[in-house]
Amino acid sequence: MPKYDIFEFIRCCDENKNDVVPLKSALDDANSCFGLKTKSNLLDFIGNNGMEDLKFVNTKEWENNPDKTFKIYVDAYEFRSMCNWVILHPYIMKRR
Amino acid sequence: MEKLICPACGSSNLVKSNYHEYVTENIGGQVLIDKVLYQCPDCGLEGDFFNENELAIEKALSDLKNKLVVSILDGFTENKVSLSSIERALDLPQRTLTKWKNGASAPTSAGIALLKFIKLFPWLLEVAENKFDYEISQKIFMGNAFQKMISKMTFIESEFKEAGVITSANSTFLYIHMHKNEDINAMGYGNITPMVTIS
Repeated sequence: MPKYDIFEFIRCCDENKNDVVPLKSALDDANSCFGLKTKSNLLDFIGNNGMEDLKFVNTKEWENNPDKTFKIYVDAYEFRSMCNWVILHPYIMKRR
Repeated sequence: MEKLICPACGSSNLVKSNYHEYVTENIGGQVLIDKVLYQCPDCGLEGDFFNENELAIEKALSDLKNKLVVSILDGFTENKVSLSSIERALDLPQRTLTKWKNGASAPTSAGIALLKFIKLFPWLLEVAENKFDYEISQKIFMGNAFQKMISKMTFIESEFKEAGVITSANSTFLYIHMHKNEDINAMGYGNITPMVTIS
């Protein structure tokens, strides 16, 4: 079971873009896989339900969390856009 | 000054660095720009946490697209295809393409996509000229496909005199004209020109 609500994340990408922070890896992959070159392009795509056939893969505790008293999890999903299948890893997160 | 904190772990030890990276615009080329990167030594995450690269990337892409538009339109003009006739065939307001070329107005993303398509597949203009009629479009498409295919095929000169494609709005012929050769066996096409027609 995912730890977080993916649809709330998608809604954030549409309505509260300042609360979403794509990491460098996410932007690099978004560019190379889908031609999405800016944060705006990427979040607009996600917020517009661009991730088709979205399927939950697994959830893991964030290993690099320096605060061990507050657990943070990462949910991984796979999705498709046109012909490209991608795994959505925790490269994008909500700002604290 | 507001202290910058890592959006993931809350650390205030962010390290900022600058680097250069190419911004590429599909068939529009690329340009090198300066970018900012923040790295968190406490959790290891990195990225443009404060949206400092967005404007630079958008400007670079806009410049590349403007150059691409001019290049595509110049290409048509150099090949004696008038912008006015393209506008007529595509049902665009007259002088649209001239304005794009001169920078008086900028094409939308849809306009740029359209230009890319007609640059890659100029025969689409013929499809538009024929009012996007489905049957005629198929013939135009297949005629172009055959011409491409013929250009890639290797013919033995001693056996093949000529090969080519003849197209019209109503039909497309692929012809292969072979020399008369008694040694050509199985198909028995020693003195007959085989043809494939699409009508």
